Formats: sequence, C-alpha cells, structure tokens
Amino acid sequence: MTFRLKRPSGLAIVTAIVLVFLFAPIVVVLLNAFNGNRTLDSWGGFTGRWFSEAFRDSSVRSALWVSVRVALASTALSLIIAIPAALWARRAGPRARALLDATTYMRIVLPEIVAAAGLFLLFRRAQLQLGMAAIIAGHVVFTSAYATIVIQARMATLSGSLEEAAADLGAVPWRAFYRVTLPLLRPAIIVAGLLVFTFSMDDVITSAFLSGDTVTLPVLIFGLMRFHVTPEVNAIAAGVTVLTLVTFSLSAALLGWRSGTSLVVGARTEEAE
Amino acid sequence: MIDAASGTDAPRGTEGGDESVPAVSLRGISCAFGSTLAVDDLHLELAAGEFFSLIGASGCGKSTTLRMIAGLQRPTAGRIVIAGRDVTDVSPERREVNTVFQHYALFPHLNVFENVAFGLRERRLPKREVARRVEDMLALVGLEDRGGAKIRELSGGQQQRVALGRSLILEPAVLLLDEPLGALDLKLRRQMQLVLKQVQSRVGITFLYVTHDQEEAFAMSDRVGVMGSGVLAQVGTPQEIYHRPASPFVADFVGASNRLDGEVVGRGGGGYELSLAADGRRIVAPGCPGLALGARVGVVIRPEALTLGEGEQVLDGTLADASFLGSQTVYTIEVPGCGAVTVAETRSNHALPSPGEPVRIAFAGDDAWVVPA
Repeated sequence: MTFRLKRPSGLAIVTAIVLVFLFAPIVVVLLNAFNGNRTLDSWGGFTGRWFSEAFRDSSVRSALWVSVRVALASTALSLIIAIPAALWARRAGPRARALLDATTYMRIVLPEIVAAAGLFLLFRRAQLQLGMAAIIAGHVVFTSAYATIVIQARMATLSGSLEEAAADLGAVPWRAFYRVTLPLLRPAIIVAGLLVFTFSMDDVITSAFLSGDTVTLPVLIFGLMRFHVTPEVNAIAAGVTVLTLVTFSLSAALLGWRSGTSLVVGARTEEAE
Repeated sequence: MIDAASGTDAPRGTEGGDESVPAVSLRGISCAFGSTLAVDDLHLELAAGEFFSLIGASGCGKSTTLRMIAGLQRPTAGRIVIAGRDVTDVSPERREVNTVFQHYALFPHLNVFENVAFGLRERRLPKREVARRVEDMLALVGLEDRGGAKIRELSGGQQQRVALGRSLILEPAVLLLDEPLGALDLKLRRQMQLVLKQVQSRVGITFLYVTHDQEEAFAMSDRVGVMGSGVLAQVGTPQEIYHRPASPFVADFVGASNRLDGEVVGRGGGGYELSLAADGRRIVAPGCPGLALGARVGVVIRPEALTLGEGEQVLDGTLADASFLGSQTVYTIEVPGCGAVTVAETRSNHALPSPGEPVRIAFAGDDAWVVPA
C-alpha cells in the first residue's frame, strides 16, 4: 500500500478561490470592527471601542430600530399576501394561474431601482407621505413575491387529498387549513419569513427612495460611507451579521434540530408518501 | 342497465344500524366531466351492515361514484341518500360517511394516535373519551403499541390500518374504501383482506369497497357490482356474478371465460335450447331470462367446467397448447367455428396430449350460461 499526499484537484482550487472571494470581505469587515487603528490602514491592535461608539450614537440606534420595525412589518404583510396567494394558485384555473405567476415573477425580475423610482413618483403624485409606511410598502412589493414563490413550491409538494381527508373526517374548511395545511406549510412559511426579514433588513435602494426623513440602518451606513469607511461602520455591519445569524439559529432551535434541518433539506422528503 | 335495488339475495344484516333503512341509496346519479360521462344514471342500494364491492377496470367510474358519495365530487344529476337523509347538497364534513383513500392520505405531521383521533377532536369530545376510543380502535386494527409512532416509520400495511382506524372510529353509516390494498404486495393484500373482513363483521358498519381485483372483491363481499364505462352492469352475490353473468361484458370481466356463439331455437327443460353457430349442434343450457326465440346469444362456459374426454355435451378441436401449472393444467384448444377454447383441469386421469392432436372437450349443459350476444 502506498501513501501519498493527495494533490488538490482543480475543482478544489476553484472552490477555494470562490469561497475566499465570497467570504473575505465579510472577514475583513469583522476584523476591522475590532481594529484599533482609526484609519484602518493597518492593524492597530484589538479594541471593542467602535462597538460602544456606534451604539452610543443615537442616530445608529434609531436607524436600527426603524430597520427592525420595517423588516417585521414587511415580513408580516408579505406572509399575509403570500399564503392566500399560494392557496388560491392551487385551485385557480390555468389562465388565472399564469396571471398570478406573471405578476409574481415580474416583481422579482423588474430592476429594483425602477420599482423604487416608480413608487417614489407615485407617492409624490398622490401627495402621500414618504417615510416608514412608504418603505414598508416598497419592500412588500418584492418581498411578498419571494415569499409567494417559496410557499407555492412547498404547496406543490402537498397532495390535495390530505385536505380532502380532513374534510372527510369532519373538518370544516378553515379547520382543515388550520390543522392540516398550515402545519405542513410551516417550514416554508418560516423560510419565507426569514428570507423576507433579511431582504427588508438590508435593502438600500427602495429604502433610500422612499425614506423621506426616516433613515433605515443600511441607508445610514450608505450615507456614512460616502466620505470614508469608518471603524464604526464595520462595527455596525458586524453587529448586523451576528444579529442575522442569531435569528436564524434561534428559529432553527425553536423548530427542533430535526425539523430545523428539514427546514431546508427535509421539507420534500417528509411529503414523499 | 340493471337496477341494483332489485338485487337478489337479501344481504346479511348486523347490529350496525336500522336494517329497514338502506345505508346508502343512489338514485340515478350521473357525473359528467366536460362531455364525458364518468358515471351514467347509477342506481344502487346498500343495506346496513353489508360488505359491498364495486369492481371494474380503471376509468370505469367506480372511484368517481365513491367520491360522489363522500361529497368530494358533485353529481351532475340524481340524488344521494345516506341513512335516510338526502345529502346530495351536503358538504363532505357533514356527511355520515368516511373514506379510506387509495394512498391513505394520512397526516404526515401527526403521529398514529393523533391521526386516529383527528375526527373525534373535530367533534370536540372530551380528551379522556378521545384517548379511550383511540386506544380501543388501535387495538381493533392491531396497532396497540404504535400510537406514538410517526407515519413515515410505519410499513405500508400498518399505514393501511391507521387509515382504516381513522375512518372507522367515527362510526359512519358507510365506510368507503378506494382500492385500499392497491399499494401492498400480494401476500400483504391477502392478509389485509382478512383483517378488513374481520373488522367489518366485528363493527357491523356498511363497507363500500372499490377495487379492480375481482378475486379480492369476491373473497370479502356479500354483494358485488360490476361497472363498465360509467354503467352498473350487474349487481349480485359473487356466485351469481360468476356463474350467472348478465352480459358478455360481465362474463369477460369476472374471471376467464369461453364464449360460443349460438341462436335460441327453443325453450324448456330448465333453460334454452340452442343451436351452436360452429356446427349446428343442439345444446340445452340455462341463461339470462327474457331471451327471445331466434335471438343471437353467447354461451359462457368457465374453463374449469370443461374437461377433456366424453360427456353430456362435446366439442371437437385440435390441441394448440398445454401448460401444467401445478394445481391445474390449462389447455388451449382450437375448435373450428369457435376459436380458441380454454380448458382448466384440476385433476386429469389421462396422459397429457401433445399439441396438434385432436381432442374432444366435454361439458354439462348446466355449467353453461346463455347471455345476450
């Protein structure tokens, strides 16, 4: 038997390059969040100073709070739109179904800047106030489309006979939905919710167009970066990253580890029968 | 078309319900999908406690009939009466009917206990009573220890039992079973047939069983209905259907059969006097009532009613093929004017003839059955 060091294959090298390319910026941000050197030219020693400075800045705090509220509202509204849309799509005739699909994909394919500019003009023309409500409306335009697609995909794997069985066993339609359809859709609803929350949380374009005087965190960061990248910006970015990871892990833990994995992988196998 | 309500043998009644009121009464129901009639003016009455099977090839309308009774499909004409109540316009959840679906349709997010308890919980029964009745039902279907099991952990046969228990626990006026054994292998099918039959006679609930497998239907049912192209062709006990088919369609569908063409030339002596088209030979055989003199008819003879050798009635032909199958030997014989005739002998006291040899087929007139051509 001969032992030899395995030389990395071409595929491994390409994979490594891609991973570095994707994650190096994030690592740089995280490192610089702790960089003691204010100019960030070189490593100036470890510090937690930027975090406390960022958090003491009331504009950062209020922007974060705005972003969280916008994201929560967008998530709720998107799900309220997406779940009935997916339910209806299954029963709809082929033409109505095609129409729904067209409007859904349109909202995703359309360049965000076009939709944002359009909404901006519309709000001005209608003399509606820009601000948080406008931002939420702007986000929901596209986030609800993503939510619809995620939930529709799950719905397609569910057999309609489960609802028939529920009706057969004496469940009126809303009870059948509550006891059978909704629990089976739950993994997709959670995934859709997380997706929408994240999209809304880090959206810049729509938020910038519709913000008025209200400033979300990404818009604030964008403004701060116009002059130069400050260590506080890195600290804020690092904080948001950690927040996102914690949210995701929490929901995975809440679902239980098993269904946490099924959140992504098992959603289909569960329905195999 | 035969009105099933006039079906012959009174079915066995049990403690399952009021025997004077039919469990199900279908009054001329039809169902059209676009321009195709899936079910065409179907009349049928099921007595309380009866085990009734609908058999037919796939697409014959039997599953559609079931779905109409369950309320999952609206009939385009006719009325459906369950336990004396017209439910034609009643939604499925308010019908005294439960269904065992073809692929079980068990709820994958619930365990065995919760699946069986589903309907009782919809009825808002006290927790303790639900638990007691579910335990009883699990015992009845032989799943005592599996209450906590996830559906995906169960075998096909066990899933089948859960589906059965989930429906039976609601004590419906009629339980509909849509090819419930279709997904199981042969051995398990036989075993589950016994389970179904035992459970049915224990609970006394009317079973309406849909299958394409006539042996399965015969093994379990009090009465059987044969469907073809949306029409109920015949209703009767398995014996009647097998030995006295009402039409060539039924004869063909139910088991192997030979058919000889002939013409009615006389009546009397316990049946019709016929002249066979093949050789003008006269035979006397019983048959469907009401065939006129001179009518073109078919004579149905089951392969196992034929033997090789001499007998009351004989046909001459040439052996085309002989296959020894263990329990029986099957011969295919070319009879001039009749085509291929199949003979199945369970015990033969003669040497196996070889193909090409002339052979004589014998049968008793009483074993033949005359159907309209």
